[in-house]
Amino acid sequence: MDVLIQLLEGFKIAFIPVNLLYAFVGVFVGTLIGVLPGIGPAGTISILIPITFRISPVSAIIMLAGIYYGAMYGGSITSILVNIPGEAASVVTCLDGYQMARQGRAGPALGIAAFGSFIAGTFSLIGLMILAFPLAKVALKFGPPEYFGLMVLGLTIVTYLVRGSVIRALQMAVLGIFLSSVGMDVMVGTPRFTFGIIDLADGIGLVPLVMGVFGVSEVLLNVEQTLSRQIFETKIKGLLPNLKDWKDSKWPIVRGTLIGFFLGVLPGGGAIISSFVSYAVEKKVSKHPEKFGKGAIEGVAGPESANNSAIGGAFIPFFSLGIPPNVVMALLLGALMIHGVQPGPLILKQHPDIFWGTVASMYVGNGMLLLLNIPLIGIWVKILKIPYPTLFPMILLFCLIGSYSINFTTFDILIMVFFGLVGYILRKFEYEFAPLVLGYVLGPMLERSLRQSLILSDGSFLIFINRNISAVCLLTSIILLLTPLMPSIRKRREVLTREVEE
Amino acid sequence: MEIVTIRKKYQRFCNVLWLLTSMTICVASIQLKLGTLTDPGPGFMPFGTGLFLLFFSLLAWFRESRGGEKEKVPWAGPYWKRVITTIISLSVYALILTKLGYLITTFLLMMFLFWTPENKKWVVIIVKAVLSTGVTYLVFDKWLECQLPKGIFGF
Repeated sequence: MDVLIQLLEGFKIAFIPVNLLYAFVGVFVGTLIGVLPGIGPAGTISILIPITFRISPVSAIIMLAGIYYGAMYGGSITSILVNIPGEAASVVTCLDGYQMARQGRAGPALGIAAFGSFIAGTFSLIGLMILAFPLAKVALKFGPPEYFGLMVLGLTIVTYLVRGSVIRALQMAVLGIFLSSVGMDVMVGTPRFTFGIIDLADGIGLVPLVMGVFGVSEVLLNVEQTLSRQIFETKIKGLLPNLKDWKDSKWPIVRGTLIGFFLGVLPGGGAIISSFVSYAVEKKVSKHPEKFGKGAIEGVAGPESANNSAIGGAFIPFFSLGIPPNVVMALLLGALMIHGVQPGPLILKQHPDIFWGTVASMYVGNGMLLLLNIPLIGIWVKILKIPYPTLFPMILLFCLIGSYSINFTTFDILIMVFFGLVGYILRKFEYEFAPLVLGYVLGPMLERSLRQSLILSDGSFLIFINRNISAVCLLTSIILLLTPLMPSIRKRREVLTREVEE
Repeated sequence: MEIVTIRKKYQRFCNVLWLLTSMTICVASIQLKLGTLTDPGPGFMPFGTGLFLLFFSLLAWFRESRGGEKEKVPWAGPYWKRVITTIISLSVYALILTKLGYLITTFLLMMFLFWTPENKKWVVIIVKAVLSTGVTYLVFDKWLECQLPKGIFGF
């Protein structure tokens, strides 16, 4: 009952006209960047963070969350119509979605993606409401060793789940932790690795770093290739899936919702991983696995539900533990901290308006997306036809403005360009950046909890084993790190990676 | 022209860079003071990350030098020069932005970026550059009050 009253309060906040406007702007911009290949939700949120400085924290998170789940909807449109994923979580949708479009079934593919996303998004929000409070109560009893264990587990999972080499992912995660130590020491204030540069005293900015490795490096990779792309010319008709489509899709949607939600909760999981897992599960349980890759609607319904459901799941560790489970949530954490709000177990007590306002606005936003996307698909297709030579200067310009307007210093632009170049080179060697950014975000919390734990235990590392939660987390991390060494598991990972790349 | 290289050779170079980076981090962290286990100093955590990085880099070196054949792969796409010019133009933009101001610098950058071998019509390029500069200026500076730099000309 208490939950319902709180939810009603949340709806009161979400229905304030200005918040409705920000939710609309969020889902609209999110869908737009989801549609456009080359700039993902992480880059867009980085660009728009400075805009949120002048609005309330509730409105800010409503808009930024809208971008996140809007991008998931938008990404499916590009995957289905162009065979290019608008963002990484829609990669698997290309496999069957594009084939459906080629068979003249682009409408049902887009329709089931939108309906599946709506259903999954709604259910994951219910899960968020149910689980966030009990977890926050438990989290209040957490001390530095427990937080340390959880963050190590999160970093291990994100490195374990990358498509390529685990060792390279670990290198990136550790490099990210190191980069976070640039600037003032978190406990005693000693400048570290600043080389006398005043602009580095506050550390390397998250926004220039993210824009560099995700935005600029992506543009650089694209501009060296041919700049034209083909759009599959088809008449989109009959967006409502028929009865058979619904029959084929209902269980994939249910399974996708559950997979997405639970993988979203895990630190290091998230929309990208859950869409891949959902596709693999659907192929495994299907009576006709040979149809996958040739236009099976289950291959669209499952992953699209999973990637939207993962967002609701990802808000659980964010709100109840203050730990961002993926890069986008790390940016939301940064945005809230700029407003003086620290996500964690106390946020539910100290700022219930932010939690309930966000939850309610996500219900509203999911509805807006369903209403927006189906009639507006024609417009999104037109936007897709913007030639890349026109698009990439605009993406770079938004990145430049975004990184400049955080601290009003051109040094941040240089940082962004530097990381853009580093990102471009490392992508050539198939290094992935999610572990780097998560390592960078968790780095200061990890360091603080490690040093506090050692002070608490008089310098004994046994504190991490004596505390149950940290012991379980660290043990799980060790097992995860050792499993790729086992020949059977390594082979299975290699097969999976090959399948995904194919 | 397509640059074709042997990946393994460059991968080895990359691994050497990782090793050097990790060793540099370790040495620099020691200079910051490691402290003790009961009272870890500012160099404690970076030293740990340096050690882990060294370990993973050695592991990567070992694994990659052991197996795999020399693989010829295209290292850069056909328009790789565009990558270099884009990086240089963005860096120059950062260096002159506060001096010339947002409007002039952005207009020049946009002119440069919109110009491509496939798109050489000056009128179109100028219109796109003016529009992109003008609209972003109105949105970010006037509407969202982002305080974009004015430069020596005051606009």
